Amino acid sequence: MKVLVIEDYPPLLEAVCQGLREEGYAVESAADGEDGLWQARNSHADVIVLDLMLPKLDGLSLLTELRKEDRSTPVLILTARGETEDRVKGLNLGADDYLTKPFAFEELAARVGALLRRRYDDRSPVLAAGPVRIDTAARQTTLNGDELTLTPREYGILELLVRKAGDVVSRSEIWEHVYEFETENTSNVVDVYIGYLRRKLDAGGCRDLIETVRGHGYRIAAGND
Amino acid sequence: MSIRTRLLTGLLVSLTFVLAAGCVALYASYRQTLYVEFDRQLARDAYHGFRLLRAGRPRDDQEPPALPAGLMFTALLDAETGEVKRTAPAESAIDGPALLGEGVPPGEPAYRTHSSDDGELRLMLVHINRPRFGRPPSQRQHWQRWPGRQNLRRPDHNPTTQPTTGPDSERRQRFAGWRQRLVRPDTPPPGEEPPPPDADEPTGRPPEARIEMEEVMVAAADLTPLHAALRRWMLILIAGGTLGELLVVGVVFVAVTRGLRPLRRLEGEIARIDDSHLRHRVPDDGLPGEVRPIVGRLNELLERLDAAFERERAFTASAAHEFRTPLAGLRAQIEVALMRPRSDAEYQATLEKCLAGAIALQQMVDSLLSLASFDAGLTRPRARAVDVAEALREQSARAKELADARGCSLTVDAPDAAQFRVDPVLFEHIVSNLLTNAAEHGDADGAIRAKLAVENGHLDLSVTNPAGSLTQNDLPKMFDRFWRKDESRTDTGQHFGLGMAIVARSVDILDGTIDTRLGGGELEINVRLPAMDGE
Repeated sequence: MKVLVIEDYPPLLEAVCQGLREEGYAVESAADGEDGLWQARNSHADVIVLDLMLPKLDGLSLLTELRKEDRSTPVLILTARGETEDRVKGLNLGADDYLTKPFAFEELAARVGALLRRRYDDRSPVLAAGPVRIDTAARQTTLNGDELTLTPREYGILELLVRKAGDVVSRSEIWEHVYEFETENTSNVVDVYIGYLRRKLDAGGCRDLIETVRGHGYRIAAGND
Repeated sequence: MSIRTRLLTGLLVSLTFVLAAGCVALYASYRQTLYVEFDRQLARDAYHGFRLLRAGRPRDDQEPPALPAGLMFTALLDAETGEVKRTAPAESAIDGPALLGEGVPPGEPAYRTHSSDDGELRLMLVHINRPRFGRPPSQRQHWQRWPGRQNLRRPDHNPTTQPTTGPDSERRQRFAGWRQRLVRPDTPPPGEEPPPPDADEPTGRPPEARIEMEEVMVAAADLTPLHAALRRWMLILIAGGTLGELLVVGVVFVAVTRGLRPLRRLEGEIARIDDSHLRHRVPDDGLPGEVRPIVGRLNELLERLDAAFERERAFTASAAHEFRTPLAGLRAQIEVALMRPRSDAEYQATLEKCLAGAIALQQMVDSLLSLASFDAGLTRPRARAVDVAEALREQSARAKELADARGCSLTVDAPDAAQFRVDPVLFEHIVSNLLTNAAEHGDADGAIRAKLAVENGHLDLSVTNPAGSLTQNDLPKMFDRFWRKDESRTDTGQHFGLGMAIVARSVDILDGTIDTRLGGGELEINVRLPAMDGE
């Protein structure tokens, strides 16, 4: 899952990006409004974390612009001004949630997770497909009840596949949601991580859970056990 | 004391005074009229009464002519002795000598009458029209002297001589009387009173030889009805005056209360205004003209207060906002670092970043504290002889680092040494903030020029830098707290928009002036400071 963070205060941007990456998200960042808008249009982010006070183009204008283009990416507003007026304005302009600075990083991560669930119409934080269960809140994956240790990237791919269980997910889609711009887009990268994932799933006793659909991508069968 | 009480008290006092004076005047004039009328009537009645006396006793078969209704009695007295010669009604017991009094010089005629040919006495009307009036003496006085008038005493000191008073011993009478000298034929008419002692002239005198006699005629009329009328009049005046006063006071009370209603409304309007309702203005429609200017001034005061509060709020909000972002950064860095165990190098890197954040926060706190102490008047400039040229070079050496980082050049044009009396700390604030501002916010790769000159007790410092993005509209805002051209913290996160505010306040404290000019894409800030006196 990919998060776009638009924030102009470097220490905060850096810390949030690092934290979200360590939570297993692919993170893109922008330090001003114009760059942020460009990235929001092009990065296929699943959630946007948006500061309101931005140079070049302020957060509210950016949000208005996005919504005008009919982009429904969930947006979480970060605002230094705690005033209700600002928050209401932001929410009315199409923001999905807000956080007032300073905030606990845990809360930011939880809200980003909640927005993601909303994006994929999951009410419960627990995703399941076959023997795989993913607690997206705790970022815990179990296979037939046994805990499965995954790297953030593996986790991101598995989460995407499970969210779209039953559907074929193309390599480029996986790449867009799990990798950041700076990573070179080669299908090989995705394949390598799918290979790692399969190995861990096989070790847990679930062979061929991830199905390769030739010429299209990968799929995990839907259905709960 | 409220306006209403004051108005009402003043009104009540003046109204009472006016009404009382009016009532007294009305009473006096009415009394005067009544007495004049009474005296006229008494004179007329007395005339008839005296004619009655003159007419003598009626024969037995005749009805005695009635005494005029207004008279109590009438009497004919001997002018010398006061002996009662005749009275009407006949049974009236009158103390003649007492009535005559002591003030009548004996034998002195007051008026002369002429006898007619037929021997009948006639009183001249002139006498009647000018009777002598006496007023009954008071309880303490036996008689009362009326200046210029004949003294007639009412013998009320002796109850037996008051036949007409009846049970009411307080009954008042008013007398009319006069002394007349009668010249009459020697033959008294039949049935007349016996001849007076001085009328013992021999009979058969020629008509020229006349017998003169003096007598005093007295008539008394009851004053009770007049007094009663006066009392009624007084009651009417008192009651009418009091009612009138009450009515006027009532009307005025209502009018004043209504008149003051706008003030009460005004009070309500003003009471609504507190620090969260400073936008509210007191409407002056419907207010009395006297109050409108006050409301106008009040609204102006509110305007200023509102502006001050607005600045304060904006400042507080900005300050809070400015603290929130670096704090959020600091907190996020620490929390993310603590999310999982890390290597020493990672911890060290995080700690260094946190330290930088803490230093930035501290600088902001320092700046805010400086401004707060400027605002509170806690900063008293202390004059020292400072080598301002050296101070400028020192500060520009520090700013050069920042300028270099953005590819800017920094040149200083100042004399080798320039002694100037100024507060060194405030001067340093001014110079360092101006240079830092130019280095950090001027166009990248631009040329920054600082120029200093001291002459005629003034110091002129100018800093020029290219500033392509600034507009004329930015100039007035440039010295506002937390003002930044584009709300940006993208560079180092250490600019809070306080530097230029500190410059402005420092210059202000030093009684200097700041002049900003924008032209040809260059911003020029000129600061002029006067040399300080003292110490």
